[in-house]
Amino acid sequence: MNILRAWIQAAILAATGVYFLYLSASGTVTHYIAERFVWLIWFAAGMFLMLAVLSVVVLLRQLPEAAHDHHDHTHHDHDHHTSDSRLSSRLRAWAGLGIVALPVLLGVLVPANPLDSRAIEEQAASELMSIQTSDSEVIEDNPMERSILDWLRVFSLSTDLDGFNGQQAEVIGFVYHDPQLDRSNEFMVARFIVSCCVADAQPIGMVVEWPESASLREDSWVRVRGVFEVRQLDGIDFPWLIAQELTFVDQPQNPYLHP
Amino acid sequence: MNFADTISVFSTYFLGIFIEAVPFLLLGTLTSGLIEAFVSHDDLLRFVPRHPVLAALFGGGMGFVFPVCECGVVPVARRLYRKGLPVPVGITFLLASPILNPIVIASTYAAFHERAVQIVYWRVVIALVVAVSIGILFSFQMFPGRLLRDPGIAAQDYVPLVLAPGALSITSPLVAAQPLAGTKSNGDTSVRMAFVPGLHHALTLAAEEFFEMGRYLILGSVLAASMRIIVTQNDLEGLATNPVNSVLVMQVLAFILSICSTTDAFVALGFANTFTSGSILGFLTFGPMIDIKSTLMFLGVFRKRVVVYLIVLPFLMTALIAIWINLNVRF
Repeated sequence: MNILRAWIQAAILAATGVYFLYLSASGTVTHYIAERFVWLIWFAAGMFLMLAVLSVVVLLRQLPEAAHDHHDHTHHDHDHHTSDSRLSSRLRAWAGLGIVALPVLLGVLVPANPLDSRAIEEQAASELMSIQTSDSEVIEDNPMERSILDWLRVFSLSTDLDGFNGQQAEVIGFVYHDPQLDRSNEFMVARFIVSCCVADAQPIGMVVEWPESASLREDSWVRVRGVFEVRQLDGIDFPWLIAQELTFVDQPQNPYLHP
Repeated sequence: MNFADTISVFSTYFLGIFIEAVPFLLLGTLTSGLIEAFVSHDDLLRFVPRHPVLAALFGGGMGFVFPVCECGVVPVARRLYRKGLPVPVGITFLLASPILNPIVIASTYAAFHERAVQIVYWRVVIALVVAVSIGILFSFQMFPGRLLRDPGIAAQDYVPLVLAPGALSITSPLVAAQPLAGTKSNGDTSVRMAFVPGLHHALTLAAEEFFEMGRYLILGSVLAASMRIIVTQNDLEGLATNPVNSVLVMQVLAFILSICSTTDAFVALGFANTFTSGSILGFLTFGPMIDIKSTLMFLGVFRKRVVVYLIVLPFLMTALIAIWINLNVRF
């Protein structure tokens, strides 16, 4: 195999390994996959670095004999091609290298952003508030500790939503201005729920009434404290959070909730 | 969305899919390297039954020996082909093992608390029926080596199942003949290596194979991430309760989302209350067999026409079974 290509392969393995190491060490990896699978990324980082070291060792050993066309039995390309298709197979090999470098390039060049309001596909506000649950899921007991996901589950299991009128709550989420809502004093506090990786991310949220909502920048993270009051949206009764206190917070280390 | 936003969201989806899948691909390439180094040609063929139906069933059960998901199974299957595994058996293995393996069964059971037993049962049965039937179907091919993109992968010339038109030979072996002189079998397919050099060799191969299979995984992730942006789930949910449409929709969704089979049960759970049971099973069986990622990886192993069959046949068969379940089974 082409020696230069072999060195670039080793470099891609090393770079991907370092990138994965950075992702898991910095916690950024939870922008992409659910927390319970993070150990997989440690494993992958270890594999990449080990393969990179191994490739470099092999290459260094080959240096003295590099002048010869070293027969390499791991090489799967056809060795009996005409020179013409040999050129095209070489081109393809280079293109292949470029493709394999893509994840680490995108990871480094595009700033890491968790999914936010831009990924909410014009869903009706009432859809963000509905969620599928099965009854054996664990729901936080203490009402003040409940996440948006916990509350939506509690609501979906409840037969009497009016019972929540006046219930205190405090939730964290990002600001989402749903086009259906009156921007001057209503917004949604939203989260994405992720089971495995962002491919299955699903936005959820609840409507908040807050007199200064017009000034809230989309995607800023807020902690909202207030009481529930059942209102109607799209003809469906739902508890809205009437905010008493709103504070800006940092984006949580793990931006998603996990069902 | 403007362009910069689209790139940013795309990058998040793409990296999410890739990061979740690549550890499994690495496991697959590692397994594949270890097989190359430590399993000899004869080791493998000793276990493969000669009868085509038994051989296909054997392929269906191989997932319990090599518990890999759909990203890891492709390099393993390709390596087994080089070791002389009959092509149809490998096809059954490719289709079945992302479902018929202990990790996936356990995660399916964990995800569906109440209906766990039924879902696991049907998931396993559908996968086995579809994968074995397709394996048997492909064993009618006169020259199975022709199914492969690079016949050199399979170092052998195969003895066809059908020797004469109309004569289905049961005794005619699926067992591969000895390597032909001049084909690329560096003599090492039949040798078991010593531990340390073997390990070294296995890792070298794993690195090499990561580059070969990795590009298909990455192209697949690019496509899946784009589809995730273009096709919204809202478009699909209107069809949730129709016994036929719901199945087709969930199978298309499984193809597009390309979620790893070890975790797709948790995703399916999110649909379990709105969508019909049959469609959930369609999602859980078709998706692991075929999705955008694995289609691209299959292209690295099989001829294009074969890949088309490998998409269309499982799609139709799982859809038929899932629709039948919707109409006839209650749980």
